[in-house]
Amino acid sequence: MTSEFVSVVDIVGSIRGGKTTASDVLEQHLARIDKRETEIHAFNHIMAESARANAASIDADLKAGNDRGPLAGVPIALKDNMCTRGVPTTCSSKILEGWKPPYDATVVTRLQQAGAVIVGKTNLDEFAMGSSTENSAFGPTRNPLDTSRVPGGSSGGSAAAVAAGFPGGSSGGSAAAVAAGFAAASLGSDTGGSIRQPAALCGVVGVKPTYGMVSRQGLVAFASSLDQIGPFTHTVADAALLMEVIGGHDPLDSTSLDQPVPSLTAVLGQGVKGMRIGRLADMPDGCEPEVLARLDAAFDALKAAGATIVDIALPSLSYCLTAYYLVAPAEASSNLARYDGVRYGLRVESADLISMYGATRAAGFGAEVKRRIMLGTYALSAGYYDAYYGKALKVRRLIANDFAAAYQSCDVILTPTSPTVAFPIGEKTSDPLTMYLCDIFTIPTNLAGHAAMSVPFGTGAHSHSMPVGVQILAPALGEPTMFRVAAELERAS
Amino acid sequence: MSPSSDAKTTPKITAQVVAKVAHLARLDLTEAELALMTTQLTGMLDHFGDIDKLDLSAVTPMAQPFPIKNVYREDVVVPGLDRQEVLDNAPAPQDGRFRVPPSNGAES
Amino acid sequence: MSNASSAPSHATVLPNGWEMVIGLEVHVELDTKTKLFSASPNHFGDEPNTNIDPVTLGLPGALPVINRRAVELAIRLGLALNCTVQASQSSTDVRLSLQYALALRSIAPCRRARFTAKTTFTKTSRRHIKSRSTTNQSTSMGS
Repeated sequence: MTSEFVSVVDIVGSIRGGKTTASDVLEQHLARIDKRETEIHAFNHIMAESARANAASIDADLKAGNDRGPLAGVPIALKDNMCTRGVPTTCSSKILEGWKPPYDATVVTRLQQAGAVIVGKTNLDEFAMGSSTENSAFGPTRNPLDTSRVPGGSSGGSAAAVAAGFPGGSSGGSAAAVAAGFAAASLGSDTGGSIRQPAALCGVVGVKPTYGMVSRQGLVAFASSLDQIGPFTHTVADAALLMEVIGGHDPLDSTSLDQPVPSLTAVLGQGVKGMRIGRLADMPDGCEPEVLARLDAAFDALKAAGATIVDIALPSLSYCLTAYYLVAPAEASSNLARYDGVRYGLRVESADLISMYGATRAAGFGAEVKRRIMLGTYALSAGYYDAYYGKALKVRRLIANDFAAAYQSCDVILTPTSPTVAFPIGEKTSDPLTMYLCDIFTIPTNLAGHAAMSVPFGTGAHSHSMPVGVQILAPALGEPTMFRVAAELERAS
Repeated sequence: MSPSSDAKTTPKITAQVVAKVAHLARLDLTEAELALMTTQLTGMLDHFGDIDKLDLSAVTPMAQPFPIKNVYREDVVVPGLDRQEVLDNAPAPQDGRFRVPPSNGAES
Repeated sequence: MSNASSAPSHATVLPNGWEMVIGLEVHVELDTKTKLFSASPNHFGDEPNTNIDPVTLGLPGALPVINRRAVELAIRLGLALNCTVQASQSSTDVRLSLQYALALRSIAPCRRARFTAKTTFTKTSRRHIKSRSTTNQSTSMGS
């Protein structure tokens, strides 16, 4: 993997070693933002002023000999559905346009305590509902590697901001921000694939941790039993470092696991000798041949490194899309009930309270959000609960059982992250179902609560060298194994 | 809406049902949106009917990934938010409160 | 209920053998320092919107965590009233509800900010009783 951009680990080392300063590193990133942000639109809000003040303070502290933490001076972008005190947090929705939270999300506090310099809030599909960032109320984000294509979604801005894009290049918006080198790393959120899929489409690393490993306090909820926050980075080592900083128990999130993040950086060099890598015997339809070719190459690379390939089956895989598109909208309909114009956000003044609710929500929510609220409300309503939501929860159990059975005979599973490379803007917007099929490989992990990550592994042979991501799935708390496989694939890519 | 617990097949959605659901969700949809929503939801629910094929009688539902139990908070006051900061970001603050139009007796 | 000519006595027998059974629906605020799901002060009479945090305001991103003391006090009350305290059979049911028979389910973590508690001690009913001694239909109070 070639990249003109420096990794988080290298930035930290250079700053600590006195070779550069936090302010200089920040200016490099701000310069790239100046150059290409108009074209890419990774950000909803750029925090240049506060970032500069922060970087200066870090430099002063480091000069005085004080330690500012494991991410001191690293420019990081945040998906705009994470609360940042005093800074607009919009979820790319008109209903929260301009709203400034009075508190910080836990992950934001942890990044700040680690010395990270937050450069901005990145664009997303509205309320994280989508797979292309085309559902943003503030305009789409473009893939830095080919601006006629989507960066993926919903964390498109975060992926794009990081990706090491330059003509003909490979990996390196929250994926675009990383892909374009606007930030050295970024955070996204993943409910059905919203970190992993944009990571694959932008050619960067993206991790969805085990459910509960990273606190959701301050993450604007979409589907509470599925959401997780995770990093976008250029390298696997960077992702390991970010995970170690943001993860771990949070008493403010009662679903957060009561244990520390497992050691990840330390295991990266351990290789995959003796590991059993699961391969789906039954691949779903709709995968582009160029994507499958890269997946095969990934299996070959791991085999060459001493792992064995095992055929496994996930019989309920084809029903996961249905289960997800009943469970997630149901939870969303409950989580989004709070947007009523009373205490925060948009209000459409009306003669009475109920009219105000109806008019505010009609004006404030986009089409996809409305669709999912409707689907969720319907699925939960009296008389239909058992036919839809009730059944979906049972299918969820089935996929969890399938995984448990599969992991008897393998340590991790490898699949494509996305069935296709980044597609042209506008290609999939006419039929919602077409867009939903983007998530076919990523959804099962969210339903089961397991860990998964996407690692860039070459480019598509036909699609003008757009990056292809390979997905590594691991059982709950299987991050160490997963990262070892990721590190191996990175060495081979 | 007609109840259908234990439904063998997923029920069909009509424009009337969609309008009722929109009311439940407190979403004022236009006629055009209602029509489009009916078509799209029908299409989706048709697709989602694939789970009707499965025998789920012996399967327990799974609402959460892990069965975490009894997570508590100690009964200790933690400083909260600054009222002014909250109200500064509210649509219609007034006298330290959130002003809203009258409910006119309707259940919200 | 009784004849107009005499003052009602405690041993009043209703006409035609009717027995009166009275149910009391009682809402008792638990004596905690903080709220049920929020660590803000549980204090009556303060200025509006001064005991607030993301949970009480339902802010985007807010997550509730249930107050241990509230659960303890509720269970204690249930035991004091001779009720049955049952463990929840699964963590999928996150609603706390006190049922007719006053079985109190132990609290599974409430993932959503919705929390309903309905108390019904006994159904108020009037029964037609033919020559039988009055039985105590309600749960014994205090033991």
